[in-house]
Amino acid sequence: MDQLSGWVIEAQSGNRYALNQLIDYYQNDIFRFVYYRVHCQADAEDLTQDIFIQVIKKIRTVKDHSLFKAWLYKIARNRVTDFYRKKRVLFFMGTTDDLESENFETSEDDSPETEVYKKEFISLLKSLSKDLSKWEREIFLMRFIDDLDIRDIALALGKNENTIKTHLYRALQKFKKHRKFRDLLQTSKR
Amino acid sequence: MSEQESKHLLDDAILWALINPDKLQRNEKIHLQSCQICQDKQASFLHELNEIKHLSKAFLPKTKRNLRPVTIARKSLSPLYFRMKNAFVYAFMIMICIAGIFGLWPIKNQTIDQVAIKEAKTSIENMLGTTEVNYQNGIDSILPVTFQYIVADEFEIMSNPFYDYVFPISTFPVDDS
Repeated sequence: MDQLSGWVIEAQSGNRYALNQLIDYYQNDIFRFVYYRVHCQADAEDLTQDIFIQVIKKIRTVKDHSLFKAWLYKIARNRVTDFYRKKRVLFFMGTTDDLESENFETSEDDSPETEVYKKEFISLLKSLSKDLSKWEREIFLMRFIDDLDIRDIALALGKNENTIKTHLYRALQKFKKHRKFRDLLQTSKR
Repeated sequence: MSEQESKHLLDDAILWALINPDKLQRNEKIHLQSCQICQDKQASFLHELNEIKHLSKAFLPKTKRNLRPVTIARKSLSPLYFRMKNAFVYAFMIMICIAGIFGLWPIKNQTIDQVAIKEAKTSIENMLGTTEVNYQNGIDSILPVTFQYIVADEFEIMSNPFYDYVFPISTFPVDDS
């Protein structure tokens, strides 16, 4: 049994230290997951906290501790979906201006060159996302931004692994045609 | 190497090789293992995909606050408490149902009925008592004196000329004979 599974079991039995360890371990991953879907730091932070509140409330319901990661991403995805649903309602009621947030967070540490590069990356990622279907986009982001494996994606989305592979293949075909984004990625220096 | 194995892989096959290498045909697998051009093509594509991951991590803004929700310590209640509470609630509901079924519920209505019956009995007894007193005093009527002399008008239909005209005596279906 690995350390993560141990923390999950301990957290289920009410150990607060183990629960905090779990949250600390996953908080950056979940924040990244949310941020690249809502593109707004403040919203992403709020949603990440909401997701962990739900994790604290429902962790006892996880039957198989090895599925914790998939379960966590399932909660995160549902929460992001709820966020957009709520935003759409507010948009139709005229309470909010835009459905897609165009906020772009800048950091003081970044050079102007990095800022431009960052902006270009996010803009092209959004452009690619628009070319993909709902499932293709979700699976592509989960695989190449959130770094989830096929099995975890299948569990988080409640789909068959072969279905996930087919969607991913279609998404990659569209990515291959996205010359601008590929050029940007090829010129990047780590 | 056979002719099939010497053919370069198509782009789609290279994509499949990234997602599911088992799906490649045997000759494609053999070719990919030995062909430097196809391997480079696959590596370049894989590098681009990995770059998405690295850049997304690098460009992620730093969080301005701690994302771990603050948990408030709360005294936990034992499951036995909840079971007992539920048991009491169910018992109370069953008692209400039993009371409803066996007629214990409308106690107030019953009392009202009994009072009405009692009042009716009393008034009947009073009436009977008055009649008996009147009879003993030689009074024929139970009506007060004022109303005893009120009588109906005489029935004048036979002596009124108007009725004679409307209903002539001869038209009465009375056999004189």
